[in-house]
Amino acid sequence: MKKLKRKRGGIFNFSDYKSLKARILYLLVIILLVIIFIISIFPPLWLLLSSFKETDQVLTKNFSLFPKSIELIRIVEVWNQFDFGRYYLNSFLLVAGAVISSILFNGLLAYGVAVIKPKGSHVIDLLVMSTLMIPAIINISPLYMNIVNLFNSLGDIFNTNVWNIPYFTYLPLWLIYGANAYYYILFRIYFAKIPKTIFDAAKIDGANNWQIFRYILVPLSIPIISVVGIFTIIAAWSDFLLPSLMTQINQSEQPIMVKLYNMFVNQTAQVTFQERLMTIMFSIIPPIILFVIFQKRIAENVATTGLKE
Amino acid sequence: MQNPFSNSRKFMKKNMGGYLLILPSLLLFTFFVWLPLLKNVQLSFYDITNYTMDGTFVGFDNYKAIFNNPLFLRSLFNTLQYIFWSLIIGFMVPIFLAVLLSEIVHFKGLFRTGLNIPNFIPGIAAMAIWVYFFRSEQSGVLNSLLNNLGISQVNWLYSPPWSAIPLIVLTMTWKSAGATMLIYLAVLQTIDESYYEAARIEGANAWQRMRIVTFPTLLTNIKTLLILQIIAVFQVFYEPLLLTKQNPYSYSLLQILYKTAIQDMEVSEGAAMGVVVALFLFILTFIYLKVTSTNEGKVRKR
Amino acid sequence: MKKFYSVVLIGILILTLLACNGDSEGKTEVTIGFWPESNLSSDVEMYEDWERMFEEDYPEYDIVGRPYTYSTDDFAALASTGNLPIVFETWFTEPEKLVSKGYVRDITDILVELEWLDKLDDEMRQQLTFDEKIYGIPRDGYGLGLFLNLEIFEMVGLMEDINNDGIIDIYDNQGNPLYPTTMQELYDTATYISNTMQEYYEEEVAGLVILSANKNGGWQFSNLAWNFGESLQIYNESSGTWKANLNSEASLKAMQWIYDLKWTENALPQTPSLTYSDWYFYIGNNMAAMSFVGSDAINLPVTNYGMNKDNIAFVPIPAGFDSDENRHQYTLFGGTPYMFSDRATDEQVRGALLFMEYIGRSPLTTDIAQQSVTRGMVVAQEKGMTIVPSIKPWKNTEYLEMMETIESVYVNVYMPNFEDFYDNLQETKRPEEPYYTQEMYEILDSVIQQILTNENADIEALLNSANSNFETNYMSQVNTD
Repeated sequence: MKKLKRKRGGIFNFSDYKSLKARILYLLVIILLVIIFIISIFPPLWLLLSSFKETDQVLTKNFSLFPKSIELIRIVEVWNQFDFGRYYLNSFLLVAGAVISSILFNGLLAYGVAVIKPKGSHVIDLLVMSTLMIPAIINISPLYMNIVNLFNSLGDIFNTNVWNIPYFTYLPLWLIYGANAYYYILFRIYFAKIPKTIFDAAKIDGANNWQIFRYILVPLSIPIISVVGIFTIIAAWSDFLLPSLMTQINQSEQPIMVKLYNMFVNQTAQVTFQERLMTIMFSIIPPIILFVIFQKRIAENVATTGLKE
Repeated sequence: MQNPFSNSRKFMKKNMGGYLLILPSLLLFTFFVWLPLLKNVQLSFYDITNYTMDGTFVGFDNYKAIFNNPLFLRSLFNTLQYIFWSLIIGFMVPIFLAVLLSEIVHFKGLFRTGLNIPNFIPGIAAMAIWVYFFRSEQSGVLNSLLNNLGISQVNWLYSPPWSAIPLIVLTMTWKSAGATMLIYLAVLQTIDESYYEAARIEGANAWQRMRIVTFPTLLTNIKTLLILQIIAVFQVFYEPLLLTKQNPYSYSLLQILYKTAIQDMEVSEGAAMGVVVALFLFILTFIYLKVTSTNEGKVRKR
Repeated sequence: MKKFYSVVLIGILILTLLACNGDSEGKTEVTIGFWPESNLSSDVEMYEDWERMFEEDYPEYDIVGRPYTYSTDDFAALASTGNLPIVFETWFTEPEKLVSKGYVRDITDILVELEWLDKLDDEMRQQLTFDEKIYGIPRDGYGLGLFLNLEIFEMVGLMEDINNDGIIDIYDNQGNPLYPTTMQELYDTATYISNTMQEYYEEEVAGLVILSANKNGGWQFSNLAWNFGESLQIYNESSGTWKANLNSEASLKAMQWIYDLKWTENALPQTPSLTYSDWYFYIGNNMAAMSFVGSDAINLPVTNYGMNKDNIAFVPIPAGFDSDENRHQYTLFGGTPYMFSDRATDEQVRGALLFMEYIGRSPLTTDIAQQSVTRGMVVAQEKGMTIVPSIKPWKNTEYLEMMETIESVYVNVYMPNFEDFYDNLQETKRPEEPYYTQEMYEILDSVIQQILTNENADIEALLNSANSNFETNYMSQVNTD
């Protein structure tokens, strides 16, 4: 109640809450938000608990949230049986490369267009921006054909089957994050706000473009770099279409999302109910941990950039 | 007058240096975005047997074929429905949530965190969970909850036949509303209390204060996010793929595109579909850029 | 910047070095795509033994095992990059598409050379023949039958264990079948089961599972339409042309039959969009009593959901409604094929085919072949799998005799609950419709889904438009080709 008495600003303030009607309304709003809060966290919570249940306890008409017993050993069993450690490692590898490529290449492009501004850069800006909303899946076959042609000709040059080189197929999966209009625009808006005098001073001191980028722009841009980094982590972790195409040849290089996708879409997959639930669980735990750690920064960043992932 | 040569040399130096730095990025955009887009257009006019580029020029045959395909037309029609429902559900919910959250002073951080969690669950994993919730049998999670409350079961995604699309949009909203809400919330927090005070002095009631002060502030973001919402809905793919599989009542454009291009290996027809969808998205993106650039202009004037 | 480029350069150098250690000992490398996954250790061990034996006898070949499960999502990726295994297993639905896309090769000459060609089962051979060339060999055959979950049949009191051997019997004391043998009986049984389960046990059990997605709907529906009396594609003798026949009287009746089961009797699952993985989900979790299933998939509810194999019966798809003198009963019949990459050389194909003897998939009846077939069954038995008589892909008598001798030892199901299906098979078997079969299935899938989703669906109109769609977009091309 004390908090309400101090509330200033907003549609209702402390003076409105002197009336009982407004206070009841406030209580109703809180109740409504509690309900929405439950709806938000209930599905992942259900998943977490259900992956410990027997099949008939999940497929029952009498709902119960909690499993009869929680045997942590089960997690270990399924983990080992499906070799999830390997898929996790693959996912981490995919994410790491994607983050580096996404920050480096989109950052450099934005730096070029927003700060150096070489002649004709506004045309590049327009070209990049016009593809802002085109999802990769629309061009999936020509894109894939291009990669195949490139790899096959690389194979001819080096006289080897490049598809068999371990994790070579991850190259396009990483580099594609370096061509993302969304991350580009985030960088560009941020860079444009940095006072031009800083760059001019560096130039007078004899710094070249790369040095300015590396030693001046990057330290000044930690907030936006972390935003793009987090967005890329989530996107790369969730990605499954192109990774699925690229890792078919060496299925042991599949990231966990491809594993999950195959499990649900492939009609001949032989997986038990519990193994399915546990796979989903394994696939959502790392991003949620990431969120819990960085939630404050994420909230601030979304607010300042006005864009979400 | 300056020496034009030294001038152009300086220009060259400046431009060359800049271009050298952005060259790798430009190569990536060319390879991953622009070239595939153009190649898609090219492929759509050829009859390609498989993933090699040999084929014969067939003009608009592929386009004729896809517009003769009842399932493609159906998915176009479904997309309109997806847009309709996402305007009603997906678009309104975050605004509503932001206004509620900006008004409360208790547990604010907790609510903000909780509502944002779904956004961090990878898309197919989220839908895979919802598959169990929406199961039509008594043993589906939602139906078993209803059963505990003594309510008889509901055939969520299929009865009435059109119910799949609003429910799919609902799950999409469940996933993304928290993040969109944060944007609106940030804007609401910039409103100075004096605006509300002034309205109050003029005798405006709560509803009027909301109409006069709250909504106008949100308007710029509303316009932008509205278009983003429509664009996002054009890209519905794995949601129906997992929830309703190939049911014609919720089959989406990207679903049929993926099936045609990858699963059936009909590369050229897939390309034609891709071009059609890309055209829609180009137009929408153009509108989006128009709207946001006028916003930027306004901000500068202020 | 320099640092960055040098890192990239070094990376590329390392990768090239890694790549340049390919060995070539003059052996022909044959990659086998149906190699078991690494977590199936007993199978892997078995295949490795077979590999050793084969390479001893044929030192000129190098067998490379590569577990690959066919899927439509990734096939294009493998094929277009030249990374298909030399031989791989695919689905019965796929050969037409793979051949027309040019991703698999013709192996006729090598089959002739090995004298295997004439031993191929006729129908399965026909299914793998395109332009008079043969594009693969069948792993084994399947026939579409009716799968019964006997636990449910007993619960509703339709069947019981009359001879007290612990297994529910599907015949009465006089030997009359207790399972449905006509479409009308199937309709009544399905209805009775779901009603009774609801009334007495308050359990929601579908009498029958009908699939409707990923081409499975059309596949099953063609058998229904045949049993109701008509083909889905017809040949007109006088004009010499093929025509689509999706909207025949029989199709209409079959669709109406499905519609009534759903909307009048509520005897089907609530979900109208079901793929092949759904039938064994429903059956294996006691959520359904019957389903139309390929005889090669009987194992799935056992391996995936732990169903007791003694609760399975497999009977012919019931005959149509017509009177006795005009009784229609067919069994849709085909094979699961092994196909060969278009990049495989003759030598590689020969190696792969020769290896078939060592894994017990050839028409040969040598000691090695016998041992391999036996070992395969022993391993299956150890894993607790259901072993039912296979539908033989080869027709030479020695092979058939060998298989029957071995199977008589290892078949571990209660045969009386399967016999009717196998007895019926020879006279009722019928291959799939000949042209654009998969496209036709997909169009029919869509009709079935609409009928199962929308209670107000106009069946006749849907079938008419499906027919004209199939005729104009596909069938008309058959006649011009």
